[in-house]
This record gives sequence, structure tokens and C-alpha cells, in this order.
Amino acid sequence: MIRLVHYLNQFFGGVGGEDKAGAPLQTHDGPVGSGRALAALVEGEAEIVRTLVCGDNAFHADPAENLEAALSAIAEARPGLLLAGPAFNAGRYGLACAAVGAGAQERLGVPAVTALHPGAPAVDVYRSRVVMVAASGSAAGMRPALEGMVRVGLRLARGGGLLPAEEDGRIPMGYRAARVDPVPAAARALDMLAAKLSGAPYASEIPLPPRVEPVPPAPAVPDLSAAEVAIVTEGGLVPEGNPDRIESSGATRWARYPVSMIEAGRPRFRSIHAGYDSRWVDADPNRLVPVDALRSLEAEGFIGRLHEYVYVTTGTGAAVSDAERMGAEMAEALLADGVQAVIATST
Amino acid sequence: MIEKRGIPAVLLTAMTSMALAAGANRIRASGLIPHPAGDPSRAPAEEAAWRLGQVRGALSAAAATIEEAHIFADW
Repeated sequence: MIRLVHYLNQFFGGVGGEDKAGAPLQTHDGPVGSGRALAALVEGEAEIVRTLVCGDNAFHADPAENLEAALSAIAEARPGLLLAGPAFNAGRYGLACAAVGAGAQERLGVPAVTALHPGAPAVDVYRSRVVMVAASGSAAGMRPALEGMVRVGLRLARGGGLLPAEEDGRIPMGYRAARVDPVPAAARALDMLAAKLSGAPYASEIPLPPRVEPVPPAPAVPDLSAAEVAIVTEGGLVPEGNPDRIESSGATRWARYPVSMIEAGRPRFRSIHAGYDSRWVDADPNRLVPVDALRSLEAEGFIGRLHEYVYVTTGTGAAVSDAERMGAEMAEALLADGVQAVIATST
Repeated sequence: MIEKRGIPAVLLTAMTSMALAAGANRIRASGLIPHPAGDPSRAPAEEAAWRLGQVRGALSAAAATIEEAHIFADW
């Protein structure tokens, strides 16, 4: 019999509605609230030995302290599995479920599963750290969400692994698992092309990521002839020897180099980007960072001034979170230096 | 992130659909994947003149008011 701990908020734990969102973390031995339906589902295979219930506001009033308290209460129960939620599309509850699940998994080594709507706020933050079964947007989907958590959770508790996200009914965690396909890639690609040309349905093996949250466009530069313009690139152009050790792929670092260095050609600049053939850029960096053109436009008075640094990182394989952080750091530096427009290049 | 902080940033790239999916606002179609600001098929002086035109066009995109993400074609 697998020992199971269940995490719930005040609403699903039967404490009360929004007026009880301040209810502090409490521990019960046995199933509570929506845990009764869960207990019935796992009967004979697992037993809910403990339920943790915490108010949505209470958890987030001090998430670090509540996480510690929850993890101690989980550890005490010596579980073989933690199930949190389902939290559907809930913001606060979803984040608490994901945080407790990730903590149990990472710090206690207890397999953990939660269930969330793919659009829930916790998904972007925790998807790579905790197993998430895809749930509907509301508690009307309680039954299938519980069944999904149980199906995946019991398998993990018994030492089994994850199936591909689609087969498991899970939200993809962003990892790839290698497998051997009997049909070679070239034949699969031709099948896809044939389907596309004939208007038949086909599924890409490398789907484009869903469009990110749009950023409102920045206002136009009012007067280019007075503007300081900077160059930013993800093309991995670095001085010989890569002194800042910018990664060839999956970058976490960026650097800025004086334009004058690139113009002097000493040291030599080369691209360390692992995602494109850089022979043309290595031969003439202007093909990636158009310094010569901007100098001409500066001399001509079309722009006010070329900013003295070129900002560089590597785009290929970078995590969106790292890319956003580096972008924000670059923006900070550009603003501090009074830059008014940016030419960015992407390979 | 640079546009988010209020500095217009024009992305010079051959992969315009990818740029759009990644959330860029001002996208200027240019060059080929390994050399967005270069065209090695031209003689050096012609390539420099071509690049000047691409960059001039990109700067005009920085000076353009847009309501949403826009691809500025290079033709």
C-alpha cells in the first residue's frame, strides 16, 4: 500500500471560501474535502495518510516559511507519493500546489504530481520542476483531473517513469526523451511534406513555441538624426579566446564589446554560436553587426551617434527565462547610457 | 525586453516568422540566416552599399509608430 499525502487549499479542504483564505496551514490524518473522492479512486492501492490544508492568502503571506512547514509535515508522514490539487486555473492555489510539489520532489525525493490548466500562472514558473497533469479550467473537470493525477502518480510511486506528455495527459516539462523511430527522419519529413502539399493534416515534430505574451511596441524614435543607436546581437560574436566565456548554446551570459575593437580588427572577432555556419561572419563581422553601415549613417547625419558598445549573447538553445533576464539587463545598461534606438540582429 | 523598457529595437533577421513567434515587435527581413546583415554573393563595395540600405531601412522602422508587431519587408 502506497502512503499518500494530499495538499489542498481552504476551499477544496472544506474550511471555507474566500473569507477563509487566511486560514493557516493545518494537518489532518486521513482524507479531507475533495480528498474523499481521491481516497475512493486509489482504494486498495494507496492510502491517504495525511492531508495538508492551507488558505490561499495564508500560503503566500510567507511562501518560504509555509513551504518549510508543509515539507516537514510531508516528511513526517513518510509518504511514497504527494498529490497536490487539482488546482485547475487558480493562481494562488496553483502556485502553492506547484511549490509544494517541487519541494517534495527536489528536497524530500518524494514523487509529486499536481494538476493544472495549461494556462494557469504556475505552469510557466514550475513546469520543468514538477509533474503537472493537464486539467480543465474549472472544478467541473475534477474527476478526470483526479484520475490523471492518480494514473501518473501511482506509476511514479512504483518506480515507473513518465510517458510522453501527450500520452500521459501531462503538460510538457520541456525535456526531450530520445527514442528510436522505425521510420527514418528523411522519410518522415517527406511524408509531412506530401501531406502539407495535398492539404492533409500532419503534425510537426518540432512545433513552434506558442506566441509569447506580446510586449506593447516602444514609441518611435522622434528624431533619428539626434538619436544614439546601439547594436545588439544574439549571433555569438566574441573576441578571439571568448574572454567572457559566453556559451555556444543555452547561453546564460552576455557581454558588451567596444565597437572600436571590432573596427580595428584586433583582437579578431569570431562567432562561437553553435547554431549557424559562421564562416561569412568570421570573415567580416559587419555581416552580423553592421558597424560600417552605422558609421556611414553617423557621418551622413542620418543618426546622431553610434553607441560605443556592441551587446552580445548566443540565442540558440537559450532558456526563455535566461533570454528575458539578459534582455532586461541589456535594456538597463542601454537606458543608463542614453541609447534611443537599437538595431538587433538574429541568425 | 528592450522594447518593453521603451527603446525601439528593430530585429534584422532572415527568420521573420520565428521572430514574430518569439515576440519581436519591429522586424526587418534581411539577408540570410548565417548573415542577416551581409550578402557574400556581392562584390565588397556592392555588399557594403546593400548593407547601408538594409540598416537605413531598419532605422526607419525604429522611427515608425506601430500598434502591434510588424514585419518590414526588404523589398
